Amino acid sequence: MAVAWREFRYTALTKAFIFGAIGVPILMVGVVALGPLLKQGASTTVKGPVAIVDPSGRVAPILERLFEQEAAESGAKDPSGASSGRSDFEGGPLELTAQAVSDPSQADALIADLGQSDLLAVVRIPASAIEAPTADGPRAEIGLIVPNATPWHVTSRLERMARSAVVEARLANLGMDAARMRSLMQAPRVESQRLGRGGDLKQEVAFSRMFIPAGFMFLLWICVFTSGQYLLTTTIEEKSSRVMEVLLSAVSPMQLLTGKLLGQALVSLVMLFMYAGMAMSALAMLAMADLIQPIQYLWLVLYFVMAYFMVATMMVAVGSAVSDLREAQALVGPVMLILMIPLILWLPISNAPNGTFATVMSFIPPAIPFVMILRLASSSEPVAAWQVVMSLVAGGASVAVMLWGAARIFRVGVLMQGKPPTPRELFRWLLVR
Amino acid sequence: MVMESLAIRIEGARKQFRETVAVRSLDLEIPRGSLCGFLGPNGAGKSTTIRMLMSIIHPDAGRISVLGGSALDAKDRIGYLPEERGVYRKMKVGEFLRFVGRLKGLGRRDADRRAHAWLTRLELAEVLPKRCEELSKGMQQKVQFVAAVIQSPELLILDEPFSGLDPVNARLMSSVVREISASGATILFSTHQMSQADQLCDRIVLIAKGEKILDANREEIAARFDPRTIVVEPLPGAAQNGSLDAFERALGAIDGVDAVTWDAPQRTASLTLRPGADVQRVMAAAAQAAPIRSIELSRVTLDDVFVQLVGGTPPSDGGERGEGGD
Repeated sequence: MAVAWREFRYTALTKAFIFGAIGVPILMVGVVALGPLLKQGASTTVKGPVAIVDPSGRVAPILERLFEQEAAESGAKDPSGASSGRSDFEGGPLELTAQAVSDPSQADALIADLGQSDLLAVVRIPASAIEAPTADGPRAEIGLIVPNATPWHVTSRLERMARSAVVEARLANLGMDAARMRSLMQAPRVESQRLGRGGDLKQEVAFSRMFIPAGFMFLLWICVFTSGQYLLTTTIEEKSSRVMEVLLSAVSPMQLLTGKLLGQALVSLVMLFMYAGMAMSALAMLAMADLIQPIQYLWLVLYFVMAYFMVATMMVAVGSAVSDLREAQALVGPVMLILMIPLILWLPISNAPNGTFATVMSFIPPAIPFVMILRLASSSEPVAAWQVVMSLVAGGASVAVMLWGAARIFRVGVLMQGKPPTPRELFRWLLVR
Repeated sequence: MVMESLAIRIEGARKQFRETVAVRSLDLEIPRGSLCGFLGPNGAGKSTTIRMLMSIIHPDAGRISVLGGSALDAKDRIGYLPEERGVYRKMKVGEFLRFVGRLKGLGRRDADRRAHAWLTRLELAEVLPKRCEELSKGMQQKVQFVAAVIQSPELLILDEPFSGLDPVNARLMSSVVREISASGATILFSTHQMSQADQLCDRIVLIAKGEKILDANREEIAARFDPRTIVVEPLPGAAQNGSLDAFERALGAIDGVDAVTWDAPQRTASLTLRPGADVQRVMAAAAQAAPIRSIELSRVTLDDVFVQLVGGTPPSDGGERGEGGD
């Protein structure tokens, strides 16, 4: 117990852990919550003329109107920003004035003037652009030239407005009302509701639901790998600082290994409860808490135990066999590839939880707990009971084998110094009496 | 009954690392209460033997009994200072000693009290609240020594306890080791420094190439390796260039003296005795035969024993390093 407590005390009750594992998520939540306050007054208005080289004379007036609309919508006319309902990704206020040029030969002179005058951009619209394009004909091209230091969002918004203006001019050319067309093309809003377990109707947010299985898996992943990483580094530290022999004079290698595994399990549990609590609070705030069935919490705990011991035994065995982190990466790398599969393929697995790939991966250690939690947290299809039982049996057996192997490697490895062992030597350590 | 009187009993222990046989068929018995020096050249198998005693590694063959059973069962009664020094760098000294004390079965308060008492004894009380990484190498070594003795062990195994210590601290540690021995604890003490073993130990075990080549107490060693040599220092002027031959002849004529050897740098003559010669009679005759300042019976040193048994020069201070110890 003394070893377990030391592991926990010097991992979880340190400034680095409190800041990294607790402080950073709180900071992230804080940034999200305070974001709207922080962005107020942060953007400056981009203001200036834009030359529109338009021989047809039909696009420039439309673009001028779009510039005015953009100025109003982006808050350029309202310094408080209150009128702007846009996100930061759409850029700050934009107040452009149109400078119509009908003679295309002036375009080069205007382009040469960019960056030396207050001109913000030159838009070249060929006369052919307002012709209705044919299905197999060439696509009309609009030219947009901006100075080197133009913000990316200004360029992006100019492109959008130029495209809209040309389309509107084409419609007008055919005698159609562009405003009418736009209102007809506007897609209706769908109010989705789902029937809760209590029979009540709740707002359905399909996009958020998609992330629930991934949330379960990432929760396991983060908690287990954080502790695994700590196990790896503390074991390497005990070896490199030569304190291992002092410990082994007081406890047996098995007692030391058990203490280390239990101590870090406690660290991992603290993280699991903390992050799961935060996630549940967030779901409750969004009135989505009922999306998670109570049995899924049981699966989470069962597969957490399995995942923890699989990763922890691997990390402690590697830590005992090497002398530094660089050597550890070489040994952990191949196993990490298997563990990365559910991380990379979480979307296909959660969309088709009973697909062949997901089913097969459910029985391959060490991916079992991560794939199974993805499948069981996915609400689209139930997972066959025999598969759950079989995954638990296969996982339990794998944990037993990995614990045995880790104990064998740990016993030999902790006293070894020098070059790291080859996989063949590691195998030989398994057989040492 | 025999087992109870022994702190350590090793019967036919063997340990092999790949092709290297570190310890081969080692038999050893260390009585309770003895202060035993465990000596040997580099790679002799000392650290491997000690690790087997501590059940850190297990012998390929043979039996090992420590304090009447397995070291695993008696870990709380054994103190161990390994050759490879190590502390948790980020831990405070007090916390480190409390942690080790608790591993050895002490309560929290008892461990704190003992840690403070031992650090005070070793003139290191002020480091209690400091982090281990803030200490010098010598200080860390003393802290580790405290970790080895904190639970007042019945058996104390010290692997190179004085390496890295300055003469003042080495002397302080020597006196502490003597005190622990006087309190009745058994001490097995591995070292390269023959002079320290000479001063401290009442029993010497010498191993080389994994085999025991000497196991005896000081009296037995003195008797077995008695050089049967008397060292004579002449009075000033009594053995000058002109009178040296007369001085040597006078000593060589004494009944029982086989040969006289003059050591010019030391300005002493060594009288090698014939077998069966009466030492006291020869010494008295020498005092009458020549003008001498001092006369004494030459004593055997562990250096001499080491050279005689192992060959070459005795090792100087310095740790054995490498994979798996020696």
